[in-house]
Amino acid sequence: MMKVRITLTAGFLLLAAAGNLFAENAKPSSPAMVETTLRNTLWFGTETAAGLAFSPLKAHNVLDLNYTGKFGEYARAQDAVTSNGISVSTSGALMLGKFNLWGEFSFNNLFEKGARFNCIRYEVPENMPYYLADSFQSGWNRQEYDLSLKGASPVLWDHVSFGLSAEYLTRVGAKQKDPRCETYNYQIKAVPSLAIGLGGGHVLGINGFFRYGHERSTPSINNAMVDQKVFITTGLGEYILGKVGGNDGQKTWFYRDYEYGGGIQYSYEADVKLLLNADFHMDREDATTAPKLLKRMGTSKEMNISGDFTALFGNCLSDRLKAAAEYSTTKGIEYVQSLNTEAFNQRWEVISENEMSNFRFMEVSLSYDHLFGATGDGDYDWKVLGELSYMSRNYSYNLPLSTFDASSLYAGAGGCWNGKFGKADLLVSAKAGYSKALSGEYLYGGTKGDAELQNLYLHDIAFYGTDNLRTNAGITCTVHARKTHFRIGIQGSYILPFGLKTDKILCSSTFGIIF
Amino acid sequence: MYKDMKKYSLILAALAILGAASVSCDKVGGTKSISVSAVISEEGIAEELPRPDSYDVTFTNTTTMQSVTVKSENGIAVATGIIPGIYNISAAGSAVEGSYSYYYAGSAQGVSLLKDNDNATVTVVASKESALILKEIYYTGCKVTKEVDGETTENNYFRDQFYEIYNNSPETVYVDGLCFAIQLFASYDYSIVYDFDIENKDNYVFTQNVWQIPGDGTKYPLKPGESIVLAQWATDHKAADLTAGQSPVDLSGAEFEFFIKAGPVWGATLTDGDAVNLERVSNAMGYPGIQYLTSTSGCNYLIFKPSQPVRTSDYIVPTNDTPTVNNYAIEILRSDIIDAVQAISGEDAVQNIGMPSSLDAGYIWCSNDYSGESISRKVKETLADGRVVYQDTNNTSNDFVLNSTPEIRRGGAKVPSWNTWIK
Repeated sequence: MMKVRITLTAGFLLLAAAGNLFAENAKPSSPAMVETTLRNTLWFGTETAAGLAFSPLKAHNVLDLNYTGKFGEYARAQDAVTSNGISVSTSGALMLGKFNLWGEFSFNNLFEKGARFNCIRYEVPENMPYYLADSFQSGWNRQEYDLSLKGASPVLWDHVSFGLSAEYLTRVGAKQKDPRCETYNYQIKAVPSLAIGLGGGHVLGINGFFRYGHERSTPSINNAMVDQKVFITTGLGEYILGKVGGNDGQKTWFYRDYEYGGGIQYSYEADVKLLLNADFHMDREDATTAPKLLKRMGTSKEMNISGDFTALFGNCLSDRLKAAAEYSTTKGIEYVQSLNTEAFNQRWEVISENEMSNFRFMEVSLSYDHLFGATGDGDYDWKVLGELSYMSRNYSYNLPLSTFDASSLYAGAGGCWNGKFGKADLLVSAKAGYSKALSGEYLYGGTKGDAELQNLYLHDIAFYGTDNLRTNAGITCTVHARKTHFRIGIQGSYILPFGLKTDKILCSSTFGIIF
Repeated sequence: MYKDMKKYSLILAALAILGAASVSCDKVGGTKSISVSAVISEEGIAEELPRPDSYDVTFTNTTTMQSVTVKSENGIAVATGIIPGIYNISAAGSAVEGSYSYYYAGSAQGVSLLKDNDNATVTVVASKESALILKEIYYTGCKVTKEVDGETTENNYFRDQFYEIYNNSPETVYVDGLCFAIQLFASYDYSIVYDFDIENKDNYVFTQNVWQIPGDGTKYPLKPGESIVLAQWATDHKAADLTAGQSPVDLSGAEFEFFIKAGPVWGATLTDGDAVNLERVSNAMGYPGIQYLTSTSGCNYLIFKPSQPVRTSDYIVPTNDTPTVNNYAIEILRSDIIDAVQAISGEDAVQNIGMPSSLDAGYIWCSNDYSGESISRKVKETLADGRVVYQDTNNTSNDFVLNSTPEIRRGGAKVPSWNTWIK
């Protein structure tokens, strides 16, 4: 695995270096220009990399060293209260011959404290209820290695291009307090695509999506004197009690995640740019445990439909209007299993499977931004933006019935000033928004008198069901030196929920070069 | 152009159909509650014995551990509003004839109840109240903190385990020759359920060690209401050099102990106390060990009087696992079992139970290892003479309760007169 990582990383760095050699002259030279380059390349926002052949991404290279910090208890119960992270990332695009290529690599090292109700997974998707939870606050140390690329062939036969979007992600996490675990998560994504130019700026795209994820996690205890109680959860507060430690404690858990689907796009590019994108994905994740006598712990089956529409118009594409919608529904499947004790043929046999829970999620958003003083190379003087979104979570456990409902409406506005001072740029941004909780209720109808696990959902419903004010400000200074541009920036966000005695501060600082 | 558009329309239509097909291929339907029934079969009950008016029938979902108890009517118990799943069903009833109580118990393990009107048959067997019963078992051990060089250390302590056996009958019983054993049915992590190489497997349960009370048949009488304590180590575990009062028990007055040898072991020096030493009549493990200790997560406990000599060599092995010291075994006739108690490690272990339901149709668990908890029998009645009669329906789920701390001779059980060393 290490060899693969080294080879891929080396390959990517070579590609970045090649990009610099063959790059066009008009490369983005500031964070604002890089951001506008990505904003204006509508196909880049889709999984259909083939579309980049009709609207190539401008060559650019970015190398960043980042620090991110999160402080405060206003977070989901399974998220950290405090988090410090260091990351190195690099990304870039180039024309290699007639192929338009983009790649990104990042390595993150995270140190977290205060996460609860998870002692098995790198991260717990809300719609995958089969895992081990404990109620102690614990630290987590995490490492993430992410490698992505998109490539588009030249336009062949005047009409057709082929593309590939791919990602390799590997993550390692270790919970720091008993019951602890060491978990290894790998994901690989491949999205072959096809784009067909219809002439006159009209392009149709189609992609086939496949992602495979695998996670292997082994719970353990450091203090062998104390076996630790854990909840083997099935959703919305339902569980059976297990333990970590001892001969009959929890064994290694495995998650296998298959996501497949496809998307179609239509775009038009002339004085204005339009892109219409629709995706349909199916995702199945199986949880199993105890490889010596493999037992199914549950499966989530998700169906996800999403679509978005983006329009760029105005002088030098100064205006962008974007609307997006996503709907997903996930079934939580529990298995009725019987142990076949026949000699040499012992195994858990699935007798039947029951749909015991359902997780519905919906999000609709609308955003608009305008660049004052926009130029053809992606620079601008001022930027203003406004956004509106609605989000809804509707979860249920069927028998006995428990429900979790939360919805909210968010509105925000902000702006950026992109000032020039000789060989330096200053990008100053500010944004504020308000999230209004429309509903937030968790009703537990089960038979478990023990309220410990219900605290997870009571905490999260308070998180989602509370009005909150979000503010964000940042400043980035870029100094230009020939073909290399150095930047240093800081960002800060403050989230203040009303009615809760908590808050959240997020901050980040970046030192990077654009070359 | 029109032709092209038609082509694209076809592609879009194909995608839409593919998507719809993906959705419709999902065969798992929504789950709804169902009504099911258990039919009580009394075929195994001798004709001359009385029959219960009805049975309490408990349906326990082995995945969610949710249970519902209903009364049977005309031999059928109907449970409504349960979720489809695998169930352990237990039935218990009682009847009185003359001065004797009879108990009727049976269970069906791992029954699939998946749709409306599914049913299962539970065959019950009758048992006259056992004279000797396991009354209280303390297996969890306790936590012991010590100050060493100014630092506090916490250790686990389970040398204080004990098993109390009570005469629940109105007649004197002699405990001479009574045997104690732990059932062996699976590998330590339950990944292999053993298939022992013996004919008529269903006539036996299996163990590795058999400990027997010595005597000539009349040496150790146990009067009604008296109990004996089998201690792992018959000493005062509250002593300053052991737990300094942190163990809940003083076992120096125990009648019997599982003594192997005296001498220093980790954290203690084992002694041969005043208690009568049990005889280790068979040891399939092949090595003596230092002290006989049992799992702090619970075991399947058996007391029996062997009707045939206990095997002391030529141990049997499972056919489906590599023979090791951990799975050589001795068979015990089920018909010799006087009492059996099934203690499991937790609710996630319910699917791994190994006791035949004819011996124990239920199970119990403590909250954790080293919790200092014990299990003890429920009181059935207290007679006019003060003697307590304990519940014995051959169903540990019904008969036992969990205690936060053990108590030797809980409920006023008396000490046998021949125990002259108890203080």
